[in-house]
Amino acid sequence: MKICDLHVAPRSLEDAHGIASLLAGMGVRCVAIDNPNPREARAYTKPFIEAGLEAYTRVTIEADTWGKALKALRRISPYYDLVVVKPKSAEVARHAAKDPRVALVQLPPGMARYMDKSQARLLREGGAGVEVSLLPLLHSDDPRRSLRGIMIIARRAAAYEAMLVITSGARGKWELWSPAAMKALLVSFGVPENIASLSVTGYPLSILYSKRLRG
Amino acid sequence: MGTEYLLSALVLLVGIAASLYSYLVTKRTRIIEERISSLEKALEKVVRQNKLVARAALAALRSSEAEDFLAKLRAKRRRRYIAFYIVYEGEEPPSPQEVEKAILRAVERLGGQLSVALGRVQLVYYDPERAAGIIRCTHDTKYVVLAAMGLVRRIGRRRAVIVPVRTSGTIKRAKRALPS
Repeated sequence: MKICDLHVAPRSLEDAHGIASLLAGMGVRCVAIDNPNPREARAYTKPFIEAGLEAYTRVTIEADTWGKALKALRRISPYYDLVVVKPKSAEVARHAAKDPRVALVQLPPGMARYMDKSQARLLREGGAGVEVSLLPLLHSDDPRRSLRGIMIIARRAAAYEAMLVITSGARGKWELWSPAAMKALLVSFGVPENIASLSVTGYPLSILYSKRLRG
Repeated sequence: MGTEYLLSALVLLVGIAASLYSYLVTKRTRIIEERISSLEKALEKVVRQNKLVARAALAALRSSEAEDFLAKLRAKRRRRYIAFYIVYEGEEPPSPQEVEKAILRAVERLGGQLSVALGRVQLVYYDPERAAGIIRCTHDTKYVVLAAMGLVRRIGRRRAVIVPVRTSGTIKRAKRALPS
């Protein structure tokens, strides 16, 4: 099965080349490039395609009310393959999970409390997944807190049977995580091995094929 | 006079009978008391014996548990060999000492000193030309070591990423998995 990393955010073409070559070496076959500018996002897909990877564009909408998120969603969703919502309130988290255009709900470690039974049910009904980015583990002030938040989200997602997608969120090649390390991190948190494997292979692929907005 | 004699003889007879009866009753109670005390003693003995049996059973159970635990300790821990390569900044590849130190520090940060001790983490092979190596650990700490390898972002003073290639049960197969 194809290994996916649905969140890389290169800041330049040089970064994109570095990430693409390293990801190809790691065995990753599918990526989503995050950029607020759709043209840049599409330009950054080229190095990945040259390296033999499937590359898609994605945008992350950050909002504190669902009205604002909806406005942004209507405006920018036609230009991207995947739309991800990073909620700042419970209202946004709940509505985003139900919306058919939203592929992933990204929960930062500090918002682990939103990953509850009802959120999992809404995610299942909407066909979306919960995204956990590992970038805060490398750069946050308190890595232990981030580790705890990520652990809670991952365990709850597995327990409530929500689709869990683990991503690196890398902006350069030095922030990349190998799929084996991502899976191992989930297993050492207590997530079952099969779900840990699915979080880097099956779940992102199924979300990609069912929620792709363009093409 | 005759009736008086008869009455006194009857009283005497009744007195003798009463004393005989009381003697018999006291004798009987004594016997019963003795029996009760002997039964109590026997019961105490049984209880004592039971206590001994219970203690012996507990000791046996403990010893079997201890034996199980010792058997677990004695059992050969399955080793895992993780083949990896390093993507590093700059021209010169990192030295084996730097690599081992970086991985051990990461394992210690993630799993604690106990994981390092129980996991018996050790760099068993390193080729500086290819910047590839093999790290050994036990099968139950494999995932902690792999996750810790993901956390390594600096080796020495340079930026680096460790990419695990394959986990194997033998060093020979792990060597085969290393990139040429």
